[in-house]
Amino acid sequence: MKIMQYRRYIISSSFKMAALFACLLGIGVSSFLYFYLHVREVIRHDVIATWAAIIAVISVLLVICISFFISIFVVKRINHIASTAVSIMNTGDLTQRIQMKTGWDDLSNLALVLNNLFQTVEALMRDVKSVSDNIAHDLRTPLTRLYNHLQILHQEYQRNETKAALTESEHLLKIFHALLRITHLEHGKQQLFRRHTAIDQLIQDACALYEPIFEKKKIEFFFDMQVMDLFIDRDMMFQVFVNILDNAINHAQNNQRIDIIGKIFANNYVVEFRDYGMGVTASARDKLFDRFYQAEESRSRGGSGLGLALVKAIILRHEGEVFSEATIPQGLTIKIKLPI
Amino acid sequence: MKVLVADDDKEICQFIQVSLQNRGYHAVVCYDGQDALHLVTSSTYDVCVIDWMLPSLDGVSVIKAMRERHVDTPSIILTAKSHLEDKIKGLHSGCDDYLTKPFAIEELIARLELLYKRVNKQHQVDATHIHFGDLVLDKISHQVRYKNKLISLQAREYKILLFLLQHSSQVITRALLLEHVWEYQFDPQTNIIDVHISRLRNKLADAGLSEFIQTIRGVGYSIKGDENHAI
Repeated sequence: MKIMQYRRYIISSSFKMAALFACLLGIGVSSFLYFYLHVREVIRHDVIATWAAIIAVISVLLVICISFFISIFVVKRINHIASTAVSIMNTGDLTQRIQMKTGWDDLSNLALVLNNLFQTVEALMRDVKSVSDNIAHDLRTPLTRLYNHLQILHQEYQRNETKAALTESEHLLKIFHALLRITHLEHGKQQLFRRHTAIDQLIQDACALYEPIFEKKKIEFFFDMQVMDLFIDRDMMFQVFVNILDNAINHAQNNQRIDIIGKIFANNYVVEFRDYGMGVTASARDKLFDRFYQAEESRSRGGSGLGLALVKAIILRHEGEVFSEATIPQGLTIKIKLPI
Repeated sequence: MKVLVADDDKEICQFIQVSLQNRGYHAVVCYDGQDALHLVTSSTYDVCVIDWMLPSLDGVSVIKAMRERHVDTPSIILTAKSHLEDKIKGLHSGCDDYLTKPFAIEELIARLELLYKRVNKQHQVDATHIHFGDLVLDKISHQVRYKNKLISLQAREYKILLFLLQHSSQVITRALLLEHVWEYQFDPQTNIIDVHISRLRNKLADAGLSEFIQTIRGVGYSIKGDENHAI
C-alpha cells in the first residue's frame, strides 16, 4: 500500500490564530490600562491617551470579530467532517469524501487524512465483498469438470457411491450458482426482463405449486390479494415467492395456518406472508436475509441458507423493500413492498 | 436420431457422443463454429447441440447463419452464462432451446428427444382426444377417463398428465415439467414436482390405473407402456 506523507505543523494554524488573538487582546488591554491610569493626571488634550483609547476600542472590536470568524471557520469545517462521516454511516456509500476548499490549515489536513482512510476502507470492503464472489466464480469451472467426470463415471459403473458423489457435486454447483446470481443482481449485472404481470396471479401460481405440501402437512392457507398489474420480471418474482413459501412451509408445524395478504398502500403493493409457527428472535430476524444465515434448527435440514438472500437481492433490484417482523401472537411475517 | 455436437471442450463432446451412442443415437462432433456451420449445411441432422462460446464463429452466429440458409434443424444452445439477457438473445437467434452448463446428460438427451419428436409430429393432425390404452384424455373439456370412469384432476395435474402423454415414449425431466406445466423459469427449492406426481399417481391408482407413471431414478418420469398402445 502507498504510504503517504502528511505535513506536520510545528505551530498549528489554530495556535497561530490564537496567538494573533492574544496579541490583539494584549494591545487592547494595555492601551486601556494606559488610558485609565493616565486619565486623571493628564488633561484630555493628551494625544497619546486619546490614541490609546481609540486603539483599545478598535482592538477589542477586532478581537471579537476575529474570534467570531475563527469559530465559524473551525466549527463549519468540523461540522462538515462530522456530517460526511454520518452520511457515510447512514447510506453505507463508501465512495463519499470530505470536500475541501483550502489546504493551508490543519483541519483540511485532517480531512485529507480522513479521506485517505475512507479510500482504504472502501478498497478493503470491496475486496472482502469480492472474495466470496471470486471464490464462487473461480471454483465453478473446476467443479463443473468434476461434475462432468462424475457423470461419465456414473454412466459407466452405475453404483450407489457414484450416484451419491454426483448428487453432492450437483448440490455444490447449485449453491455456487445461487451465490453468483445474488452477486450479479447486487452489482446490477443481471438484466431484468420486465413485463406487466398480474402479481396476484403469480402468487397464486406459486401457491398452487406448493399446494400438495400444504395439503400433506394439513396447513390451511388464507389468501387475500388485491388484483394488480406490476412491472416486474415474472420468472424472478416467481422465484421470490417460491423461496418464501418454501421457507414458511419448512418452519410451519402441521395443522397450522399461513396468511398471504396483498394490498395497495400509497404507491406500493405490499405482500405479507404470515406464518404462525415458532417465530424467530428479534436478533435473528435481522440476519434472515444474510447470505448463508440459517437458524440452528434449520441447519439440519440441509438448505443452502441462500433462499432469502436471493429474495432480498431480487426485490432490491426491483427497487422494492423486504423485511421481517413478528406475527401477533406468534410466528414470522415477511413483508414485501413493491413500487407500483 | 442423428445429432451434431459442437463444443470446443473435447471432453464434453466425447461425453455427449458416448452417452448418445449408448442410447442408440448417432452423434457427429466438431470443435469449431465454422466447421459446425459447414457440417450442418452440407448434410442433414435431426438435432444440433451447439455451444455458445465456439472458436472462429460463436454458437448464436452459427444458428443465425444456418437459418439464413434455410436450414431448419432444431438446435439447442449450450451456455455457461446464465444471464437472462443472454437467454433472450439466444432465443432470438433462432435456436429452439437452451441449456446452461453444467447440465445433466439426461436433461440434454430428454430435450433433444423432445425437439426431435416435436419436429416429426408437426404434420400430424392435432386430435381433440388422446387415447392411451383405456385412458382417454379430452383436450377440450379437460376431462380424463379410464375405462369410461371419470378421474377428477386439478388443473395442474391434468397438465402434467397431458404433457407426459404427449411425450409418452420418452423420459421427461423435472425441469421440463416445470417449464411446460408451470411456465416459469426458476430453481425449485425442493423436489416439489415429486409431490405433484405422487398425488397424480394416487388418483390414477384409485381409478384402477396403477404404476402408470414411472420414476426414472435421478432423471425424471416416463409413462409405462409403448407407443403402440396409443391409438
